[in-house]
Amino acid sequence: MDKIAGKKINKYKHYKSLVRFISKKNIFQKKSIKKTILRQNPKYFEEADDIAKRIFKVAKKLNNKINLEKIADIYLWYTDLLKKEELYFEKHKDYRNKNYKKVFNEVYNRPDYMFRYAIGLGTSQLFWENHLKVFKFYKENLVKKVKKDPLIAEIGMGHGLFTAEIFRRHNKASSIMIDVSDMCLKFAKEMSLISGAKKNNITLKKDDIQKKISIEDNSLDVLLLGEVIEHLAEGKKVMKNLSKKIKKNGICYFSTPANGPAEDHILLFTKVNQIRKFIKDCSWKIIKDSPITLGGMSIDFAEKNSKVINYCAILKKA
Amino acid sequence: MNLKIKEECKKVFSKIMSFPIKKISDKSSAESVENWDSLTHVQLVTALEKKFKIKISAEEGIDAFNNFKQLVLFVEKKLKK
Repeated sequence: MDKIAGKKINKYKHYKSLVRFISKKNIFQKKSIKKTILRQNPKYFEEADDIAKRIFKVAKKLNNKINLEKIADIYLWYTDLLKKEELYFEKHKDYRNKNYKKVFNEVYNRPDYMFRYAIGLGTSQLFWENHLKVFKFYKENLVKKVKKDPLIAEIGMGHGLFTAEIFRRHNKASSIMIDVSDMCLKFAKEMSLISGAKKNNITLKKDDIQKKISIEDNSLDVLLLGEVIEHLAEGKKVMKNLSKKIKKNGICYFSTPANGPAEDHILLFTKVNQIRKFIKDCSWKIIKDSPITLGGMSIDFAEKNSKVINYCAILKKA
Repeated sequence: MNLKIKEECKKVFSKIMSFPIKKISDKSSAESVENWDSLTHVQLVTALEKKFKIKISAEEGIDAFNNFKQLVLFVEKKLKK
């Protein structure tokens, strides 16, 4: 690790160990993480260290054999998976998978795979420029605006860091967690508990939201719909149905990528306005949005060259 | 190493990495070439496929070469198939 970067992270124990293990094993990640470190301030390192610590603790609780080196290995496995999909996308300008059932069997229905998936994705939250910006948007535009003791629901829990962020501020919030993977539900539940949630305030629902959504109509104060729609074969139907679940003044955090390949992405958006139209067509209105590109690339350039755009927005029901 | 292939590889590599041809050596790697990162690596693989009309699988694309010498040997091997 570069001396200046090393000095900046020296007092952040979990973060530092992860960075060292990853940097030792993969030159691309080493370079990219170094860039991230050199750009960041102490507040980022404190938060990143806390996230790294929570990911480690949750992973350890679910699998006693986990240590920080294994988390680094899992993260590198995850980045390799994505790299393969990026290579496919660069050639074909399309996602490799189109069939939800196939993805379900190959990805979501495999607990060990989903355990690694949650860790890999969660760890990316520490280092990736686009994930850091998306999380910042989420905290500033949703978490800070959440009123006291809300009923929140998150669809597609993954690592659970997004719901957990609300629990860090509002430990009396109630949460409905929905996912097709038992492992992700367990992971997200532990993540919220470790972040201040009370056990009785968490309800887990193993639903395929394309078939049923176990939430009462007009009941939610907050709906989290981050990186979900692109995983679905019936995204439009789901998005419309979800608009019925939120209260009139409820707020929804929504994110989805354009040109963002992953093995379990089915629904391809290629332009920001295509996403905006999709949202409006599904009975939602956009209160604020932010399309995020890598390295300061313009949206126009990213769209013309099929480069990833991480779109995130705050929505209300129309 | 086939010199003609090597020269063609240099042209592709130089263009993708914005790295001067004269500075490319067998040992040029992600450690020494600043712009060789995971994003430009994907572009490099795709550009090599187009230039040499070869097919590189996703698995090969990730692991097949870590420096310029390995890259040229990999392309040579592909062209022999």
